[in-house]
Amino acid sequence: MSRISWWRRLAIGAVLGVTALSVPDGAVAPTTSALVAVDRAEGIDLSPDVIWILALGSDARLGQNVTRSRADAIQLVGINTRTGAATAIGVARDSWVPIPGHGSNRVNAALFYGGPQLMAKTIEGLIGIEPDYVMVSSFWGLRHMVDAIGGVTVDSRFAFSDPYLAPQGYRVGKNKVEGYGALHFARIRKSLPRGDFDRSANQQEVIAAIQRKVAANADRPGFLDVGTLAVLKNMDAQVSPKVLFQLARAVAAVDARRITGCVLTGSFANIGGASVVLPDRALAKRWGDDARKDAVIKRC
Amino acid sequence: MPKPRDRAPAAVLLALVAGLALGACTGDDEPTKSASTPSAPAPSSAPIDVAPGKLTGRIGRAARDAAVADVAQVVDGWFEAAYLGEYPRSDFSDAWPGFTRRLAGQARRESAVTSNAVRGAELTSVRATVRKVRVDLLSAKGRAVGATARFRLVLETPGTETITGRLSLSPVRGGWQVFEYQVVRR
Repeated sequence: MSRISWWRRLAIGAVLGVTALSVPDGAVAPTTSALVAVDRAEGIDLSPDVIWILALGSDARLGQNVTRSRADAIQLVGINTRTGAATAIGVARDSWVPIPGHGSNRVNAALFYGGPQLMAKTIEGLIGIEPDYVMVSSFWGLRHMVDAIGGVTVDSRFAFSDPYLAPQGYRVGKNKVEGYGALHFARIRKSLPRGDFDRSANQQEVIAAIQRKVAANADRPGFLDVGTLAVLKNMDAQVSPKVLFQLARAVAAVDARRITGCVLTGSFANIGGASVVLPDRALAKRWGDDARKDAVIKRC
Repeated sequence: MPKPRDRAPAAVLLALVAGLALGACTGDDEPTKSASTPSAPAPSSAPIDVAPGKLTGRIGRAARDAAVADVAQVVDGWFEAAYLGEYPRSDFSDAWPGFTRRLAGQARRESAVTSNAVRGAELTSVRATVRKVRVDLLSAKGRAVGATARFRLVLETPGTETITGRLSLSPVRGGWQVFEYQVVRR
């Protein structure tokens, strides 16, 4: 993960700080002899209130630099530590966009040209939100991370398969998958109705599935730490382990009922012999304006 | 940043961690903190029971002991400030030592759970019959980079109340700071 404007945010954070609020949840718990009132309180303090993470899936092969390859999965994820809301904006890898200092090209080339920093600037130019962190994972990195937390359950909108990657396929509804299954769920596109757009939506489902698994097991001693260590080992982790530890708590605190996700679509075009997507830039800006301060997109 | 209110409890906690959980330590594993005369816990309250919990990543035993003791000191400081002490009591303004400033503000708004503020003026005494803390550590490059303190505090007020949950802490200069809490009171 790369920290953007670390010193600036650190300074702002030191001055302002943040507090995550949650409403105490009153309930009644039975015991062997009485009904006992149970009061709960929860809070988290991370800076800023809304954390934006650019999650990238690199197409780097073993031995290649994951931060200087092309980004095949592009998800801008926002987490509101105050409310527990979270959202993801997916961008198709073939989206034709301006890349600062490099003219226009497919958005996934920004990682190759300038690493996580340039990728962040490119996405900021498209959506209008500056990521606080960039998280870059390889194929095997995602696989190892999902395996480290014991697999996840993805909810598929389609029944689909791939003769090479997943011949057994996925059924509509819940699918329990280990690392390979999650990876292929996020990679396959040719057998999906809208191709790369639906693949991007599936990537969001994998992220949501990981969050559900993390949140459900957050009270297990060491579970979050094992996941954090897996991120440290399997991702580009230029950010400090201390910050990763804190981010893991933020992820666990997300309210699954308040997760939204949108995939940026557009029109198809041919530029210089290359098939590309001309993204709906106005829509991207609208989503960015909508979600910037609260990590909620009211309508895709 | 939390300011240790008293170094003596740290020495007590360090000794407890080293003695109870890890067995007798000698040589390099000896606590490195100053061992000033420890103050005994309140006579009517149970002593704190501290031990390492789940350890993730590699860390030396001495560093682990020190981290567990320092984290437990923060947790016990909150126990004392938020729930114990002398009663009747109406001032709970400093009930969350070791919490970040913003988190202390949040805890104050939930003070019915995170302290005895709501009933403090009505109570005549409060004693802890159980003060248990287990400290999970995440370490990287031989250093503790995060801690989760799972706790159980049983109070006689004179009725019995149980406070359980977890605190998440990050290392800061001079100690550890709480940036997340989950507290259940029953």
